[in-house]
Amino acid sequence: MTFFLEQLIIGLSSGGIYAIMALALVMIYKSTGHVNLAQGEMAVFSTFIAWTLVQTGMPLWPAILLTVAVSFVGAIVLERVVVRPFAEADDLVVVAVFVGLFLSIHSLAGAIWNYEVKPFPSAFSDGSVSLMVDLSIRTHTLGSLVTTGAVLTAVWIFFRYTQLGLALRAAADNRESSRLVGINVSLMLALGWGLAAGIGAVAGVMIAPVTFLDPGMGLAPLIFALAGALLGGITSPFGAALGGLIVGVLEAMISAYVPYGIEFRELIALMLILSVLLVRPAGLFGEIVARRV
Amino acid sequence: MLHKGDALLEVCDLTVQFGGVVALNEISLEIYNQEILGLIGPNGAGKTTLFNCLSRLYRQSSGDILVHGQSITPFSPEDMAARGIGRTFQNIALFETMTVFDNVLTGAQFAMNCGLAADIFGGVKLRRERGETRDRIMHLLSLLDLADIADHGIADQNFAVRKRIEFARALAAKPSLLMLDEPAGGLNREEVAHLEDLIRQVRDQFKVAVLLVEHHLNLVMKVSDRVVAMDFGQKIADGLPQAVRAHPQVLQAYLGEDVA
Repeated sequence: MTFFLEQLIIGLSSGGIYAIMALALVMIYKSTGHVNLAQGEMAVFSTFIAWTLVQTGMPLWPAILLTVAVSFVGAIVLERVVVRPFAEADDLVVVAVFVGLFLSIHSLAGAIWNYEVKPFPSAFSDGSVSLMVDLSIRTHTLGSLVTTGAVLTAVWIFFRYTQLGLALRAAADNRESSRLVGINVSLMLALGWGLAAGIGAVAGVMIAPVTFLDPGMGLAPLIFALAGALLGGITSPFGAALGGLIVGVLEAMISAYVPYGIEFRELIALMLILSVLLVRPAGLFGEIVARRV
Repeated sequence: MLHKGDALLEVCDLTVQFGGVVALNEISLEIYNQEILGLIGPNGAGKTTLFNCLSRLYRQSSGDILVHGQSITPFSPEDMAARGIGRTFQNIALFETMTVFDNVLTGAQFAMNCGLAADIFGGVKLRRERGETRDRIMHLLSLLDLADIADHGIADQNFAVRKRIEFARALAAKPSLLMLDEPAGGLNREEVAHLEDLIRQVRDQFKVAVLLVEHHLNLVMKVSDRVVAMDFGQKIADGLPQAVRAHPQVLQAYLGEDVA
C-alpha cells in the first residue's frame, strides 16, 4: 500500500509537470489551431538559461524567476518574427514552421551549451520528507507537485477572474468578434505565447533535476504532455491539465508494476495518443468544433 | 421626425470595390443621435458591405466615414468599440466556450481600463469598477430576459436567445451607435414583435442611435424614424418610412420592373 502511495505521489508530481506543459500546448493550440511541437525545446532552452544564470553565481529561485521573464519576452519575439508571418498559411506550412522551430531551438541549445548531460540543482532542499512510517518522498518530488499545483491555480484564477484573462479567452475563441468588442487580438496572441513559454520554463526547471539537463530532454515530456492534452481535450485547459496528471500517474504505475514498464513508457504515451484520436478525438472534456457558416 | 443638428455618423461618397465589382457606389448618408435608421434593399444591395466598412472590416476605395466629425478611415476594427460603434452579426458570432455572462462581459472590455498590474493584483479601483460593470451587465441581462441563464454555456442556447446575447454584448460597450445586422432573421412572429419593443426601449434607455439592416420590412417601417433604401450599391431613397415605402424606385427594386 505504501509502495502504491509512493508511486501515486511520484506520478502526480511528474503529472503536474505534464499538466502545465499540456496547458501551454492548449494555450497556443486555441489561438493558432496548431500544436506547438517546439514547446518542449523552448522549455529546455529556458532551463539552460536558468542553468547559466546559476553558473554565474545567481541563487536558484531568482534565476528561475528571471528565466520565466526572459522566456516570456523571448516567446513574444518568436511569435512575431517566426510564427505570425505564417498565420494565414496552410496547415502543412504551419506544421513545417513548428518542426523548423523545434530543430532550430534544439540545435541552438546544442551549439551554445553542447550535448553533454549536466546536473541541474533542485529548487528545493535535497533529501526527503517522511510522510508516514515507511513512506518518505524526495523533497523535490513534493516541491515540484506544489509548484505545478500553484501554477495551475494561478493560471485558472488569471483566466477566470481577470479582465486580461477574459480578453485572452475571447481572442482564442473568436478573433473577429474579439476585435469588434475592442480587444487587441494581435497583442493577445503574443501574450498567449509569452504565457505558454513562461509556464514551459517552470516545467523545465522542475523536470531537469530528475532527468538531468541536455538538449534532448524536452522530447519525452512533450510527448507525455501531448498525450495528456489529447486525453483531456486539447480545446479544454481544465481537461488538458487533468489529462497531464492522469498520464503522469499512468507512467509511474506502468514503470512500477509492469515488468520492463520503464522501457516502454513513451510507447504507452504514443498508444494513448493514437487511441484517443481513434475513439474520442475531442478528448474527455474537449468540444467537437462545429461552426455555422 | 427628421433630426436636426450635428450628425453622429456621416458616410460621404463611399465606394467599395472588390476587384471589378462595385459593392458600394458613392453612397452618402448620415445618422443623428438617438435616431433609428432603417436600411433596406434587396440581397446584394450593399447593406452588409456598408456595415463591414463602418466596422472597418472592409476598407473603402474612396470616400470617407466620419464619427462625430472625425474620420475613422485610419482605424482598425478593434478601435471602433472605443469610438462608440457597436454591432451584431447576421450569422451570430458569440464566444462559444464562454458563459452567457462572460460573453456579455467581453463587450465591456474596453470600457474597463485600469492597467495590467491592477488587473492581476486586484486594485481597489478595479474592484469597484468590476462591481459596477457586473451590476451593469446583470441589468442588461435582465432587460434582455437573459438573467436566468447568465451562468449557462452558449452551446445549449437557441437562435433567438443567441441573438439577444449578441445584442447585450454590443450594448455592454456603451455604444453611441448600435448597428443591428438582420436582428429579425430566423425569429418567429412573436419574437419579432418583442424585438420591435426592445429596439425602441434600448434607444430610449441607453440613448443610442440604431442602424438597422433588415429584410423584415414591416419591422423596419414600424420601428424606424427614417429609412434609407439601397439597390446595386447606391442609395435610391431616404426619408420617412411611409415615403420610402411608396417610392417608385423602391417598389421597382423590390417588386420588379412593372410597378411604377
